[in-house]
Amino acid sequence: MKIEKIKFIDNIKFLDKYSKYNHVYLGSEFCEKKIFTLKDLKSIIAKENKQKITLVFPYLTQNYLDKVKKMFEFINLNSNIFCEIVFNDWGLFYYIRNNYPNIKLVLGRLLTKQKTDPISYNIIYSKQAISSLKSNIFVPKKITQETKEYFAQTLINSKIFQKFMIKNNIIRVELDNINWNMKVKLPKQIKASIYYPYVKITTTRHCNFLNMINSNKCKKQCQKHDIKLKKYVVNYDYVIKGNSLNYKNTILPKDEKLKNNCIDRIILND
Amino acid sequence: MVNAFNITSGFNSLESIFKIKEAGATELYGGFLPKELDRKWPIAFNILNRRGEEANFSNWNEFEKAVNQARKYNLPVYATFNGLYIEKQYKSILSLINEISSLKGIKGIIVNDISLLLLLKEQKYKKEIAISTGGTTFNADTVQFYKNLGAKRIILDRQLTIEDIIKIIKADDSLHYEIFGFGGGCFFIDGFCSSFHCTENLNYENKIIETYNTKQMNFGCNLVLKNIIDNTNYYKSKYKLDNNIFIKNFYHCCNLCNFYELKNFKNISLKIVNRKNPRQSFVKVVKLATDKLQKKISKTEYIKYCKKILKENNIFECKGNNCYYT
Repeated sequence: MKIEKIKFIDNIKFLDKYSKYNHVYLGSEFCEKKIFTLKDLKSIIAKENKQKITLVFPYLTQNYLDKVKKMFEFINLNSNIFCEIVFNDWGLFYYIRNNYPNIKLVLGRLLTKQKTDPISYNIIYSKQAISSLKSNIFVPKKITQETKEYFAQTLINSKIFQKFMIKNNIIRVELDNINWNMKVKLPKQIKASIYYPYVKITTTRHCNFLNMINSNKCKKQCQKHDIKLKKYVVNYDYVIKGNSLNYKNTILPKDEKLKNNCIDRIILND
Repeated sequence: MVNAFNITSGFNSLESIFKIKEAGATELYGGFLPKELDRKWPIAFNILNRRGEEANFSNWNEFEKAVNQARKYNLPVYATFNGLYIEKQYKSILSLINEISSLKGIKGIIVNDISLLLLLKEQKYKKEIAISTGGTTFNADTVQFYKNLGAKRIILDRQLTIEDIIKIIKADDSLHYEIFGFGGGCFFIDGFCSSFHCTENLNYENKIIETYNTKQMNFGCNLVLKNIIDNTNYYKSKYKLDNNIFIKNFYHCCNLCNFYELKNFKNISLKIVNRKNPRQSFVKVVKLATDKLQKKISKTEYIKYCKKILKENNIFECKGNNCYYT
């Protein structure tokens, strides 16, 4: 099994820059305001460079979902280019499945439900130090084997969910590169991708507060820069990217470990 | 005049039921986790449900008694199974659901794990299924997805505007909807958040100490928010940001004003996030606010009234910055 590397871009203007990749991801997992338009998709089809494109959609409020629905006739007609859809919203899944059953679907990172907060590592491996608070000495409890197993897995390993995915043409699941051991077991019809180097922790619609902007209107701050948080209490690199909070994990597991977890694709999200 | 809104509150003890009912609740939700499951997957990590330590019942007799008592008070109870599970856990979870659902006072269960929903559909679960806020319902199509999996009630996400909420409810009024009424503010989207939460309390020589490691704080999200708050000036200068209001605005826990726009719907429950130490005052202000809507009142007058009752009940002085999502 060969492991392919695919670049994730969030704006159509970067397509040419990454033309050496014969397959890219385009879109946003977290922000409905960053979704490409039908006009963008038409301009891609008009290009000579026929890269394969996986289109990525975030969670969607009704107004944006209604806008997105209008693109699918075109996406479906051009499935030789727009080869897969990553969904992070069960409503979008429901719409596509009922109207375009042949479209290949990919279960997005927000729906694979991994536990990703790097702090969990310290707990799982009982790394937290005995600490004192006022006059008390605090001794942390030991973690059970069952809890360790829990943190390594998600519902994607469950048989009934795998049947559901196969029945609904969900051919791939998207995963984060967590900083502890993960265990993924999938049937041969379903593959997994891993994102590198940014691991998502959480997302919010209170974007202006997260980005410390004094306005409710989107100022497209995320197009200018990410906000790298200072090291604070724990030694992880937290990065605010638009309306999502991530940490940077530069250690990618070896190919053998990736393959053992059914991973045949690395998504470069830097 | 009968209040059109249901008021749904968390509860964690027999004693709390009467107080919550007196304050105005019409429905309850709560959790039961037996000790043998807690030993494997400690509730401090919110694995089996998201209620945390001291918010669940762990003794079956006490839970049964509480549910029966709630039934006497005509308060239907929803049991929380709103964790995210792995293959190994489904057998125990299903067995527990069936045991709990055999109690007459249990109206249904609160769920968000898709595999669990598929299993419940397969076994033709008879009682009501409510989709937790962890189900991340942001649109009417998601409602249909869950309806197709057997849901009768949908708890909508906190981070929807009132306009979003109205669109969703109008699209299918055959279901019951729950929206956050008060408490349990969350800066991030609950169902998409994998920030580490540890709600453990240890009783150490009669003194309560919080969390596995106090140095790391008990919630990963709080750690990040505290980082931003403590270093706002640094970030403002480094990234040329203009925020002066962040610190005052990150706690979103109140939805009272928005009830005004929802007063004509008949299929809404207002959720009060009560975990350990349930607060009657939260239920009371929601009841007072919804009662006020039974009479003709302008929106301006209503908002003024909401601010007044928040202050009178010593909850907080509203400055218009504690709203769930606007």
